[in-house]
Amino acid sequence: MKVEVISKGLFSLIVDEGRKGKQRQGFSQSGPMDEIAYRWANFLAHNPDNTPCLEVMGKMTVCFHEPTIVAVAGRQVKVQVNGHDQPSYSSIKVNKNDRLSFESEYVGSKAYLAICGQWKVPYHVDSACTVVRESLGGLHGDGRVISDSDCIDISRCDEQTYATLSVRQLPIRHSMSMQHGISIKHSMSIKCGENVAYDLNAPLRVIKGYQEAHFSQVAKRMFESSEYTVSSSIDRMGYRLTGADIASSLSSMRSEAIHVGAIQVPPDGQPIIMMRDRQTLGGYPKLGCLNPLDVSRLAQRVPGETVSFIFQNSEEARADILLSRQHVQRLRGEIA
Amino acid sequence: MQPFGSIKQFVPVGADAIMLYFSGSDLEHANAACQQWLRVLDRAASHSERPWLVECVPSYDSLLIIFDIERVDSHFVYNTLRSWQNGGNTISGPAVGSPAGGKTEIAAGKCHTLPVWYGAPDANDLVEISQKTSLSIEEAISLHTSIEYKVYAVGFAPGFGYMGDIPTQLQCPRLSTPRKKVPKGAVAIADRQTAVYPSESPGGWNLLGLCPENMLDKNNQPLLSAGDTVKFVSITESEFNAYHEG
Repeated sequence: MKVEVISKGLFSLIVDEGRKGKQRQGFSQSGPMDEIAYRWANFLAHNPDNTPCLEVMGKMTVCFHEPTIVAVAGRQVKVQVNGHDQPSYSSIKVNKNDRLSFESEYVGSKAYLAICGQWKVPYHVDSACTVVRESLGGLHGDGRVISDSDCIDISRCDEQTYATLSVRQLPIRHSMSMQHGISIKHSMSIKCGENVAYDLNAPLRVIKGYQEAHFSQVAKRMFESSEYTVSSSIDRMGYRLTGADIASSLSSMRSEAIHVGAIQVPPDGQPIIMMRDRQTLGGYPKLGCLNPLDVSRLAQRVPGETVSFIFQNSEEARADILLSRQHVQRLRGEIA
Repeated sequence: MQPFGSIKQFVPVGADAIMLYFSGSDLEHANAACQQWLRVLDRAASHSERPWLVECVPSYDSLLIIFDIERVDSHFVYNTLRSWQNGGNTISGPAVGSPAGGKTEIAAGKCHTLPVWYGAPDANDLVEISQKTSLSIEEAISLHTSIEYKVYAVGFAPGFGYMGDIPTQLQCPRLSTPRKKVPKGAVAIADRQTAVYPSESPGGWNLLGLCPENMLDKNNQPLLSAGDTVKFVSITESEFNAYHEG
């Protein structure tokens, strides 16, 4: 089955869970910026985990050459089929020649389109992920992002199986905050009427580590007590924030591995949160790492929005993550 | 988490990783200790049906261990490494080639000879290097080809090997403003390090010339691995061109 891209949006690419075990060869981890939304999209489209999806900024329109099931997930995503509104975070059955359009209400936020079936796209270094900087992956295998009139070949399941696929829908009452593992006291800000709310006001959780000892107590207190603005320098490599200066006392260090969510502080004192397509090694001091659940939340923030941080220890972080995974597992069981 | 053996420090990294820093009489030994622990961890992962180990990312004197947070926590990882150090748990642990005892063997990696067309017009900072180092261009080239380098780490970009240490006389700082485009195959130096750019990319190192050898093969396998040694040899423009024709 062919899926034709009528309009690519601002910046769209193919992602799966990313490259595993290849950072020692210099390949970026890659993978979806908002892993939580990506996983829901695939699940709701009846795909196994790690199936490729389209990660889309801006408004994308695609046309289906055969009937299939799709799902769109992300931050405040508006979805339409042939001009009629459809729910996000839900399976959508589309027919031959249907046109699906979707976009996040926030320019710069990411929406994920999952399409049921086996994606016939090239795999490089064990993944279908597109990494522009590495000229790797994507439809042509050379790191090119999606362009208008690209066609994605997806082999659909047989008619019989297709007929049995149910419509899966994420219940509205299960707000995103639960999946991000944020306690109720932080999630009061979820607005009613938002289909799936990203609880963006809760502080991003940080586990201190790396060169933490080289940051002064004052710098750490400043970091936790002030608000940072998401700058316009944000991409799949990292999110540069502006706000209180928290430079460390370390002038030079040897390059070392940068984990996802690492808070890197160059000499100008302005933190950069390292994201999916970050370089594997780097020599700037790092204050710690975001809780992995909050990497997805940060990924959906757009320039001009503010974020704040709260320290937690690794035991608390682990508890949050395990609870969140249990919750997602239970939800999946209820929906399936 | 108390250090032991060649591991001088354990540092938490996020919820699902820890960083190991290694000691040694010099960087080469610390790097060898890192490689040795990496082999131990790889062996453990290959022996286990459902390994708790997600990924290891080695560098000069450090090793990031990312673990499966659903299965284990950082204390488990620490205790497991410690038990391997002490002779090992034969059920889940691999036979450790004793990273203990303070003695770190430097394992023999592959030896590569990489041809370089020094002064190739697309990658030529030789005049600037000469000014920064007060060496003549000929002296700079002969120093760069004078010794074997160790590949300490592969990273930054696919197949990019950080090699060192270059002779002190050749040491020169990075460019104050990085270039937007460094060509594929550019041979470069910065501080005490040298490298070959595997593909066109931005970069702030000083360029010496071009290497016709591919740093990544058709299947994206890097030519260089940490622990390998590299010797550069000077070739002429016509030899460089012949390389591509052949």
